[in-house]
This record gives sequence, structure tokens and C-alpha cells, in this order.
Amino acid sequence: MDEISSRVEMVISLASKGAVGAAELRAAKGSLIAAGLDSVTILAVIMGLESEFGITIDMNEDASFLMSVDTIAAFTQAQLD
Amino acid sequence: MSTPAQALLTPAADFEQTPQDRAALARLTTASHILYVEGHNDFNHGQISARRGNSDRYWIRGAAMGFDEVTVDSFALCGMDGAKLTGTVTVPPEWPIHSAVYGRLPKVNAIIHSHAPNALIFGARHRTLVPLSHDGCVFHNALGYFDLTTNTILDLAIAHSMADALGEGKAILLKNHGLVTVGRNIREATVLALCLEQACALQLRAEASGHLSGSDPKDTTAKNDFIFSDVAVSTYWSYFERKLGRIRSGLQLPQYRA
Repeated sequence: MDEISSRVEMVISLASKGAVGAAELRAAKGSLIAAGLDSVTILAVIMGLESEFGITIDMNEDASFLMSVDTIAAFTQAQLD
Repeated sequence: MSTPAQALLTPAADFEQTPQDRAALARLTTASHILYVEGHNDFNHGQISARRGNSDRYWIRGAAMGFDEVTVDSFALCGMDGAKLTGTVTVPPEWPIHSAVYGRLPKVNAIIHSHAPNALIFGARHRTLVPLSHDGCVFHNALGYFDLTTNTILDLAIAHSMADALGEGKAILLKNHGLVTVGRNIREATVLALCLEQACALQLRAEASGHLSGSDPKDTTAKNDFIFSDVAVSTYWSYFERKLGRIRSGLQLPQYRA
């Protein structure tokens, strides 16, 4: 797993107050919904991503990147390039 | 390292904005307008900035313009030495405030400095901000005070003294000058600025009434965990963004602020 994916997993774990960690995400094949995250926690994930990576996420744009750890990591990498 | 005067004169290099730059500049523009609507403007203006990714560069609003006048073209990309890397505006001479904080606090990604009136009056004297309202709780053990000078901060040595006084806190009051808030993102720094101004306003009013009482430490901690969680801050930002949208479209009058 690359560094960005690890940091994304950390953001998700913090946003869920530890309820969804690396093990749960891997069991759910990285899917946030399958791992048990609800819409409120996903709001916290978005704030966490902005804070962790110093990026801005416009929620009026396509939010489909929030599907999984892989899609979030790819989105984040694209923002940092 | 360039002097403030050199920073103002440094020519911009060729630079192409990324989609992420455009998103950040749009967010900074919205934040500027929210700050204006919520009473943070004055003729000397203050600044807003945001770190570019995890880098040592940051976008900062240009000099000599009001928060209400900001557009996405009102920002310069600035290095830690104050040199302008791109943008058509002038880097504000107060860039050392931002460089000093970004340089020592890698988790800070956004900074607001304003001369909001209640924070300025409250900060004219060093005293405790009592957690009187929800707004005040977020600054419990997280509010610094800087009184080395009341003047505009124009050099890095003084800015580093200010950063010393800020420590790991969320905000600092500058004696007879204004406020600085720091956030992990633009939304957080903006909400903190609004909260600090409101908390100072309420305490000034409470002091005038002769009755000042704050939350106890247990409640203050609980409020910090719930009322200022990331989700909560996200919803506060969204509220202010919706309110700004209504004002922009003429559906809501701006709030009167004394």
C-alpha cells in the first residue's frame, strides 16, 4: 500500500473515531459504505482529507471518488500533482 | 531571504493553475466574503491564506483590498520568503505572519488575520476568554496573546515571536490590533475567526452587564468534542455559505452589526 492510501485509511479511522480501521476497510475491499461508514462520517472524512493533505474538496463537483480507499487515494494524488 | 519590499517587487513566473488551485481559490473567495458579511472587514483589511497542498507555498489575498472585493484573481502564490511566485496582485507586507506559522506548524493549512472589532477591543488587555458561549469553548487553553508590538507585523523576527505566543493553539489575539486564527483547512480557520469574534463580543457584553459566568471544564471539554467536531464545523461552514448565497442573490438582507 502506498503512502497516500495509508494516510487515507488513517483519515477514515479518525473520522469514524476508530470504528473503521485498516482491518475493516480491507475486509470491505476498501469500500466506505460496505465498511459501515454513514453519510455523517463521510462528512468528517472530507474534512479530514482537506486537513491531512492541504487540499480543497468542492462538494458541488462529482463526489464519486468517495467510494473507496483506492478512489480517494487516486483523487488525492491527482489534487497534489 | 527577501525583505518585505523585495517581496512586493518580485516578478511572477509562468504558472498554470491546477483544478486544485482553482478549488482552493474559490474556497478562499467564499471565505473572504463570509468574513465580510460577518463583520471582519475594515479599511486596513487583514489577510486570508491557504497552504498549497502539503508544500511550503501558500495562496494569500493581495494587499489593499477588502474581503468583500475578493475574486478568484485576488490571490498571489507566495513562498516562505515572501516572494511572489504567481498572481497579478501585490503580496501583502504582512506575509511574515503567514510564513512564520506555516513554517513551524505543518498541520496548519489556512490562516486568517482580521481586525474584527470585538476581538480587537477585547484583546486590548491580556485576560482570560471565559467559555461563556459555545463559541468561547473552542478556545479553552488554545488562545494566545501577543503584545510585543501593536503595530502591523512586517518582519519575520516579530512574526516568529507571535508564533511563539500562538504555540499549538487555534488563535491568538494581537494587542490593539486584531486576531489570527489557524486551521487545518480553510473552513476551520474561517469558522474559528467567526467564533472568536462572537465570543469576544459576548464577553464584552457580559462584562458590561456585571455578570460573567462560563461553562465548567467538563462541559467545555464535552462541547469541544461535539460542538466543534469536524462534522459540526463542516455544517457551520455550510450554513454561512448558504447565508452568503442568499445575500448575494438578494433573498436575505445582510445582518446589521454594531
